[in-house]
Amino acid sequence: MQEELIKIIRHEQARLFRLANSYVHDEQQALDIVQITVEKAFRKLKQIKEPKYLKIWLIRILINTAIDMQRKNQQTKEYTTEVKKDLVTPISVSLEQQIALAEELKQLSEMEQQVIKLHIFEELSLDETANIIGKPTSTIKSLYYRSLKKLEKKLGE
Amino acid sequence: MKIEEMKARYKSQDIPEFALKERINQTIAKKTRQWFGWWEITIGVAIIVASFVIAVNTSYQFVNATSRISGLKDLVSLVLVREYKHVDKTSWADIQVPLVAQIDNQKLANKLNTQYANEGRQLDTEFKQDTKHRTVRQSFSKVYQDQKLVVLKRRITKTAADSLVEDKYTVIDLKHGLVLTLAMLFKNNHYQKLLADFVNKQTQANFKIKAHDIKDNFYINEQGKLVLVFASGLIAPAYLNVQKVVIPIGVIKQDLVSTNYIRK
Repeated sequence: MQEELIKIIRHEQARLFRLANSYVHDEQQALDIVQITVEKAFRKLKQIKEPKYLKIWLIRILINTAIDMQRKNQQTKEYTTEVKKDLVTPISVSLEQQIALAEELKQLSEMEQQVIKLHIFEELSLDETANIIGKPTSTIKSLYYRSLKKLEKKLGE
Repeated sequence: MKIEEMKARYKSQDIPEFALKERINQTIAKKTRQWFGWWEITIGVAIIVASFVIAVNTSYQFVNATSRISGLKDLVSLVLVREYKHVDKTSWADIQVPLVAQIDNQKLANKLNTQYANEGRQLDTEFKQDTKHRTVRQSFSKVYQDQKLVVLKRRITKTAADSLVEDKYTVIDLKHGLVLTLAMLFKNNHYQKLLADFVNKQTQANFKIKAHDIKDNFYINEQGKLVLVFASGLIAPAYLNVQKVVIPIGVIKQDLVSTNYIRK
């Protein structure tokens, strides 16, 4: 099983990095997340019986690690962002039309963001996405269409 | 921004493949290491040391060969040479100044080391005069090295109420002993406008840059692509940290002097 895991880690490394970076927007931290994920995967490898679930399991560990890291970052940044909000005048509507990728995604709930990242950006199937998030495929499917609509509405404004 | 554009932007994140591979390999090695008994290690080390000592002392050819094996000689490295530290109740600084080591070209090494030392000292002076930035930190790392290029990086973080993160890259052509600049890669000055236009296509309306904002902060990644680097807050909201823009070769090919460095 260890050999399969190594093979999958090497095959998925770019995807793991991109996903991690989409949470923390920092190269060093994204590398840390990938490293912690690999460590965790080796430590808990015994839990896995079927090699075909390795990829999904690995991505799930990565997302959890990334969310943890993101939370830690927010705790340290809270003070600075509060100050910033007061200083910046409200953004005008015309500017809002072209918001950066991260800002667009921030409009969606955590789970909706995950669906968009995994299914659209990373081109994983709906089944795989559902397995990573840990919900039935039908739920993910309706969530996908809903978040797509929500996003298109935001983008169209 | 359309969803396809969002996807393209997501996919165009620059992946530091060298560092990524290295981290993963290290972790895998750590997790799969098989331990020998202490006496096996001792004997093993003793044999290696003994054979190396004998070989170096008895064979001129061996000495010659080791000096050519990369890893024993050719790998450029950065070491800490000076650290400006300052701590009091309301502020602190930790400015690490690198020294380029294990580089054959002494002239180039001197030039870079003087530059790094000067810029480090300047950061320290600015910190002492400036009442605004209450923390300053500089760290450094080697991004990668291949047969042609060495890419070095220094990261500067200044924090007051707001924080500014800046990455400064140095791209070295070892064979020719050169530090690359953008002007060297392009035929004429038109490149600044060309690159600025390309970057502006991807940024929000309130983050547009001018041609003269295209400075020499760039590197060439392991795939041979040109990557421009911008400090936080320059082309995107500050919380997104340092931004990198990968330039597709199609955009610049006609203006390049050669595809020697930028290949893809």
